[in-house]
Order: sequence, then C-alpha cells, then structure tokens
Amino acid sequence: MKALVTGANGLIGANLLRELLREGLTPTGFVRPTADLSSIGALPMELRTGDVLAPESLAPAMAGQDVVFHTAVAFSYWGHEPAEMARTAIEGSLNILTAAAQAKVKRVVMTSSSVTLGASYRPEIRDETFSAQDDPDESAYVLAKIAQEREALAAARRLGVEIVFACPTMSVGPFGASLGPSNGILTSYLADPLRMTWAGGCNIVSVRDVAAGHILLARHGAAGERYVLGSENLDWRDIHAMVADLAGVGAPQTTASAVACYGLAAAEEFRARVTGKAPLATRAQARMVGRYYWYDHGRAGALGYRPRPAREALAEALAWLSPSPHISRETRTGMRLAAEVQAARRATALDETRLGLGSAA
Amino acid sequence: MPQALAVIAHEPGASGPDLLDRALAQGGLREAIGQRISTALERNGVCSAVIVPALDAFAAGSPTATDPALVEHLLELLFELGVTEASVGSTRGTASLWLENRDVFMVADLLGYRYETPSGRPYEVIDLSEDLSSNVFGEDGPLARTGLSRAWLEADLRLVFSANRTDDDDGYALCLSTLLSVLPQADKDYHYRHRREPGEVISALLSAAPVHFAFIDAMVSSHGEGAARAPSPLVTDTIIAASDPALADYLGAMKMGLDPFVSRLAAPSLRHARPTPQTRILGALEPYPGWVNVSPALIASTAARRASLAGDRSIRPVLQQVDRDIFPFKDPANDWLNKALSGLAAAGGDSALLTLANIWLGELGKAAETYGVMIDKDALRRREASINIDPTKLRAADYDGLPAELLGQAALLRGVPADADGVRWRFDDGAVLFDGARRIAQPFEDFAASVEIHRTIQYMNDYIGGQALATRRDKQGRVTRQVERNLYLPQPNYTAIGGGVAIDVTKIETIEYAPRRQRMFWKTVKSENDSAIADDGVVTFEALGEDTLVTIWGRQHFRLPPIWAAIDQGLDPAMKRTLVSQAYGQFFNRTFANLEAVSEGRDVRIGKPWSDAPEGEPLPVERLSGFVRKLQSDGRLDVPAALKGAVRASAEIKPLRIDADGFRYFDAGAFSAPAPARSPLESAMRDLRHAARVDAGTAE
Repeated sequence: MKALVTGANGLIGANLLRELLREGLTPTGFVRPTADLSSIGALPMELRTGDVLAPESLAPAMAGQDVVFHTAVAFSYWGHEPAEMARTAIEGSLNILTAAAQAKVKRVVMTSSSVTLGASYRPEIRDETFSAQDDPDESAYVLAKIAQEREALAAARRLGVEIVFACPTMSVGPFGASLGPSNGILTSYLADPLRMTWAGGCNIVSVRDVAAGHILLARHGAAGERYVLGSENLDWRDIHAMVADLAGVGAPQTTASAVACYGLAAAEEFRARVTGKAPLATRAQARMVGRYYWYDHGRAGALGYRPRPAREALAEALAWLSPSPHISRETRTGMRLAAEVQAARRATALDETRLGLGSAA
Repeated sequence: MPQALAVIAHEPGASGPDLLDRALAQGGLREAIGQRISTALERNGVCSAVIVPALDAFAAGSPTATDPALVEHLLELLFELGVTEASVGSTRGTASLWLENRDVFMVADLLGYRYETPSGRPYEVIDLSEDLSSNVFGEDGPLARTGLSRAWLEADLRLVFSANRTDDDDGYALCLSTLLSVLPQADKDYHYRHRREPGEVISALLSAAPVHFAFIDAMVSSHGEGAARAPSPLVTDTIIAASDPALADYLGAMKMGLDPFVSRLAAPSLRHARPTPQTRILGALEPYPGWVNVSPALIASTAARRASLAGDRSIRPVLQQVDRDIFPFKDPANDWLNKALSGLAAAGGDSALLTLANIWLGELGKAAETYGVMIDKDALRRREASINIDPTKLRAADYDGLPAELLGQAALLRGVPADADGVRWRFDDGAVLFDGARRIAQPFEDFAASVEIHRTIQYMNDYIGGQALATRRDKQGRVTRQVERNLYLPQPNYTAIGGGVAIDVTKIETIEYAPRRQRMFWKTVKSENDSAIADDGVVTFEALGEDTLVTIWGRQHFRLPPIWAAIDQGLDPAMKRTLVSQAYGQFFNRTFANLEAVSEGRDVRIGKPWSDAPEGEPLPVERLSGFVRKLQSDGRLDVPAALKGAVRASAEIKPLRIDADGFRYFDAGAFSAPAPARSPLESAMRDLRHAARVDAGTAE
C-alpha cells in the first residue's frame, strides 16, 4: 500500500508515518514548505511540500498513491482565526478529495474528531450514531470539524471517492511538531501550582493507537462511515490523578467551578496577549468544563482496533513531554517520573533507533 | 634599570611634551624603551609598537581623553628609538550603543589624531576588535574563549597612555581602566563590569599580554564629582610614566589623595604592584592642589546601582554630557531624557540627588533579585566566576586524601532515622551532615553515560554559575581530578530577603570509576565571599538491579546574613529541625529531579545566560521604544476603540492590507456583511451564565 499523509509533521501525522514504516509500507509525507520537520525529518521516507489550500501542489503528491490519510488541520484553541481554521478544514478537504479523484486514489481516510459526535453534561457514552449540531457557542475548531465532515462526505459522494472518517478522542503522545491542545492538558496540570481539576470527563487515547487505527480503517473501514478511535472514558479528576501519579507531582486538590475556570482562562488569555506567550487555557476550552467527552469505540473494535489503556498512553506522553521545552525547567524540577514513564521513554527511543536504521522499512 | 620604575614629572607651566621627555629621561625609562626596541630589531629586523590612549571623550578637548598631541609626541620618540611600525589602538565602547560616530576611527579623528607625527612620520589608527587571536586566555580564567587583538598581542611594545580622571564606578580611571579598550566586545560595561569581575578581567588581560610601559596624561585632568559624566578640567601639569600600568595607577590614585584600592577594577592588579625595595619612584607624591574626588557615597551608590543591570544601562546614556553636534544620540528617547536630566548630574549639580537615585535603582535591582531567588529563578542572570585558586599549587595528596576523610565523616550518620523525604541529617560543630538516596528507574550504564558524574554539582539545586577545571584525566579521558568553583543562590532562599548572598565556594575533587559504581568526593578549600565555612560531599552512582541508585552525602555550614544570624534558631530546637528538614528535603527532591532530567537530555540550569554578542543585549530604552512601536502598529494603543469594541457588537471590517503610508484597503463586499450578533461583553456574560448553570448542575 502506497500512502500519502498530509499534515505529516503534526501529532497524528508523525505517528502515522512511523506506524506505516513499522508495517513495512512506503509512506509519503506532505507538509507545508515552512513546516517544522523536527518530528519527522530523520524518518526514511519521501517528503513532499505543498499546501492543501493550493490544489496545484496536491496533484504531484497524489500520483500513484493507494490511500491518502488527510490529517492536516489547525487543531488549536488559540492563535488561529476561525475563518482560517474553517477554510483549512473545509476547502482543504475538498481540494484533497478532488485531487484524489483525479489521481484515482482508492480511498481517503480523513482525520475528523470525536467532538463531531457531541458531548453531554451527563456521564453518558456516545457512539457514531450521535452528531453534534452547529451551535454558535461551540469553539471554532469544533465547528470547523463538523463542517469538514459534512462537506467532505457530500463531496466524496459527488466525486466518487471512498472516504472513511477517523474520529480520534483526546490523543496524547509523542512526536508532534508543536504541543497541541491534548498534550497541553497534561502540561497545564503539571504547571498548575494549585493542582486544580474540574467537572466532566474525557476519553484518553494513545496517539500511536490512533495512528494504527487509521491504517486499520484504510484496510477495513466501511466507506462513508465514521469510526471513533478512543480508549478509556475517565473523569477529569481521574485523568489528573493519573498524570500526577506518573509524573510524581501532587494529586488534584481542588475541583474548580466552571465560573472559576472561565475567569482563569480569561485571565490567561489576557496574560498571553500581553506577553505574546500561549495561554495555559482558553475560554473556548473553559466552555467545555462540565461536559463528558465519553465515547465508545466498539465499531472500530469490531475491525480489530485494540487501544492500550489510558495510563499507558499518558506514560508515553509524559516520557516525551518531560525533556521537551513544553515543560518548563521549574516544572520539571518538581517532577519524579514513575518507572512506567522511564520504561516508555526507553521503548520509544528503541523504536526510533529501529526506524532510523530502516529495519521497519 | 630596577625591577619597577615610576616617574612623576611635574612643573607648573611646562608643556606636555617637555614633561613627557623629562619623565622618560629620569630613571632610565627612555633607555629601557630603547633596549626593548633594540632587542626586537635584533631578533626580527622590525619593531612594532601599539599605544592605547584614553578615547572616552564626548566632546573635543575633553580632559577625559588623552591629549592626542602627547600621544603623537610619544610616537615620535618611539620612531626615533627605532620603532618601525607604530599604531594607536582602541575599540568601540559602551557609548557606541547609544551614540553615533563612536567607532575608533571616527572618535580618533574627531578628537584630533592626525595619522602622522609632528615630524611627518605616519602611524596607523587600528581597531583592536578586528583580527582577533583565539585561545589566548586560559580555560580557567574570566576571559576564557575571548579573543584578543593580534596586533596588540604580537606588538614588540605595548603601551597605555591614560588620561587623569575621577570616576564614579571606581573612584579613578587611569591606565588599568583604559586597558578595557583593548578587549574586543563593544559593550564594555555589560561584558567586563556586569558579566565579569572587572578586576579579574584586567588581571587576566595583563597576564596574557603584559603592558611594557604606562603613562598618565595629567597635564589637564578631569576631577570632581562629575567624573567622566560631566568633566571638570583642572590644570595639574603632571606626567606619570611607569614600567607597569598598575604601578602608574597606584601612584596616580595617590596623587588624587585616594586609597588606590578603592577601585574594584584596579585592586587585584595593584596587589601585585605594591612598591618593594626594588621599586624606584621618582617625583613627589603629594596630592594635586584643588583636587576634588567623587564622594565615597556616590561611588558606593553607583556600585549599588549595578545590582540592576537594566537600571544601570538605562541611566548611563541619560547622565552623560555630550556634544551632540559630533556625537548625536541614536535613540530619540535617550536624547530627550539626556537633555532633561544630564544637567542634574553635572559637575556643579547636586550629587546627593544622583546618589539617592542610584540607591533607589539598586534597591529595585535587589528586590527583583530577591523575587527571582524565591519565585522566578529563570529570571535571574547566571553568574560567571572563574577559578580563584592556583591549581598548580595543589599536591596529589590533597586529592588523594579526600575519600578517607569524607567517608569517615559520612559514617557519623549511621543509625540516624530518615525523615519523610528519605533524608537523614544531624548537626556537627555547627555544620549539617546529611545524606539522601534516590533509585532512578534507568540502567546504570545509560544513566552514567548521560549524567557525567564530575558535573554533578553543576546539576544540583540552585546552582547559578561557576567554572570547573579538570586537572587530571584517566586513559579513557574521564575526569579523575578537578578544581571547581560553584555559586549557589542564597541558602535557604528566604535569606535573600535579609541580604543573603550567593554561596561562593571553590572545591577540589576526586572521581573514581568502577564497572558498577562511580563516585565523586569534593571538599571546599575557599569561599571568596566568606559565605561558607564548609561545603563538602560525596555523590555515588551505583547499579541496583536494573536501576541506578544515586546517593549524596554532604557536610554544609553556610554563614547567614546578620539579620538572620541574629535569630538564634538553636533556642527553639523543634523549629530548627523543621527548617533544616524542609531545606534538605527540598534540596534532595529538586537535585534528584535535575539528575533525572539531565539523563533525559534537558538543560537544568537556572537563570538566563549572558549574551555573547559584542553589543550585549539591546538597551532597555530600545526594548521600550520597540514595544511602544509594536503596540502602535498593532493598534493596541487605541484604548477608546478597545473599550468601544468590548461593549458594542463589532461591525469593524478589518483591512486587507495597510500600505507604507498608512492607507487601509478593504474588501468592498465585506461592508454588506451582517455584523456579529453579540459583543465580546455580551458573549462573556452569556458564557458566565452558562458556566453558572454548569456549576449548578442545570446545564443542558
């Protein structure tokens, strides 16, 4: 299988390339000319540059591919204009599908998000039968993903391209070119001297399982369907407690109210505007407090999707974050990594060595 | 000629060149110079000379610069004695950061250097920051990795010719101060006064490239409280010539009626230039009549002001009297502030006001430092401190005796129960003996490969700077003996509030390597600022199953600042035990976390590094101007519009682009687009109401 991965330097893209290489496949990475390649630069693969918003740059990369994994998206709650985010999601996807149709690519696996299934203020678990609505109070990212799915499905039918939607939950793990909101949840907790948690919950999954899930969908997913790629559903308190235990920092002390979260996020945004540094949390994220982003991955499970437990996913993520600049020196000084994190670090380093030697290719 | 010679030539009404000739004629200085030239000519067939004069003037004819006529007269003499190539050398100074026309050639030209002697012999003006020779200074000195002008280094004759000046940094600025302009970095204040100890810098420079002869132009001096900021000329009709710049400064300071050691910059060099029976001093040492020095209060307050790097760098351009016609200001803000404030600090001005301002700035700097020590360690500036003992004087026995001595003391902790943090400690002769261990889930081989044991102290909690010098290595290149100087933040950190100073300790160390264990022993042999009586220890890395066990034992006895020492903690043993337990618990937790982080490849050093750029860092005024310009260009200074936008639904159409003239271009279609439904304030209120419903459990 020859595969093109757009957004190849992103969290999912970088892991997907590694997974494809591990399976002995021949991936091609597709990134913008200005992309930070630190997460994929050393991988033994072809790299193409272009832009999903520049259709003429897509055709050469699509030629001869069997599958396109379209992971490119601006996943952010800060620093991106809503219109720009929507354009990348919708117009970019349409360009991908058009180019795929022209290049006679058999299948496009599009990275969507579990947020398109919506969330609940009750601890209920959602599956692919749920759909979020275009609520103007939702964040620009969520609205962009909802619109992307809708428009891409219609376009795929029109163009005659097989499309499968991968809907990852909160994906944590190594190799993203930037921190990203999901890993950012972990670093925010580590940097928080008050050790706050909040109401609601989330489904945590290893980005490596998400990557493997994409390949599974490319092989076995039903065209036109959505598949949740998640793992365990947990309360935020449990997630934070797990992070605390793995990183050797204090367990969550206070459950912050939604009002307090909103106020703190507003203050953080103000600080970010003054200092030019990214906020630890935004109002868009604060609006998610109290909701349960809990999902069932049974449909993918039926295809053979077997994610690792959330704790293992968090250990891998912390092993990558701990030496990274995303955790400040002062924060790192207060950490005492669990043996699982150290083991994850060694395992990841070993995997990287193998990939670097080309043993998986 | 005797070992050291100095001549003070003085005669009211005499001309400068005459007095210079007279100074050289007395005591054999002229012959000594001639002898050196002859030797060079015999050896090489040529003889080069470089004279470094004081060029720190901000107006033509200023007494803070050496008289060019005197320098050219000396050049003439050198040519007569056989010199084949002669140059006047200098480098840009800190003022070049905030004034135009401050490069060496422009300043020399504006001050009156004519590139030929009175008899028409040509000489060069050279910039000593160009064509640098590397590896001039030792790795264990303050100027490690700094280059030095090849022309200066290779000159057969190196001479310094200073002006005669009072100075509010050091009391006086003579030959040794002038020698700073041999060093290549432009921002001398940043690199050689703030970043490094100026006295150590000058000593290292003199060791690497000794000056053969030194002169002080005290014909018309700059005296008074105004110092170089607002020079006040005084006719003193004197030339001082010496075989050593430190000796020239020694006598020059005495002629001002000062204790020569008042100068932080000169003091270390002066200690090697104290007159001995072999020193010959000709001429009278009585102070100059009518001479006025900078008051000790102003010198002390200027030193205090240096606690604030930003404050010090901000205020100097503001206070300096400048002839704007020849040296215009680069930044309009500095120009405006200088016009408004430099008069206040003028010679006849009230130095009490400046003293007070200095103290305030210094206190602000100290407050920021204290905040950094306690709250924001990464905001602190790293400290650069070089090895301050002579490693060649250490004997093998000094190193070899460490294991037995320290392990014997470590045994005194036997039977002491560990506290909640796994730390054991007890008092011994006022010191604290302590140890702690951490099992790190990494194989010993991996851990030892990524954490070099001889660097362990540099990874310890609150290490803020220092230097290490390997004095012996084994066949595999591993360090087995080392001398190290370490600076730590005040211990405990809270003592910074009461004037606690950095712990400054110099240690000798021995390192042992075995297949499954590595161990380093260290013992403090000097504390430059007397902050520590003892700081000895042992660190061990050893294999423990699949993991690595790290153990640190130590013996520490630090001095407390007077305000904290006045509280006798020993009167309340419970409180003392709590404080000690907390302090060492924190030390171990953070140190072990640092070691773990180093094994991951992290840089765990606290503080900000100094910039290596010749201009140091941008001046605070440049940062401020840049910030204001950015705010203006972002439109963030438009407060009324921001307030209006917060309460009213924004119908503002953003321009597609803004051209160089400020014209804004819009998309015509955008004007027909409907305005968003809610203002930011309305949205915020709606969000808050929703958040309240979430908290109440009624959100849907």
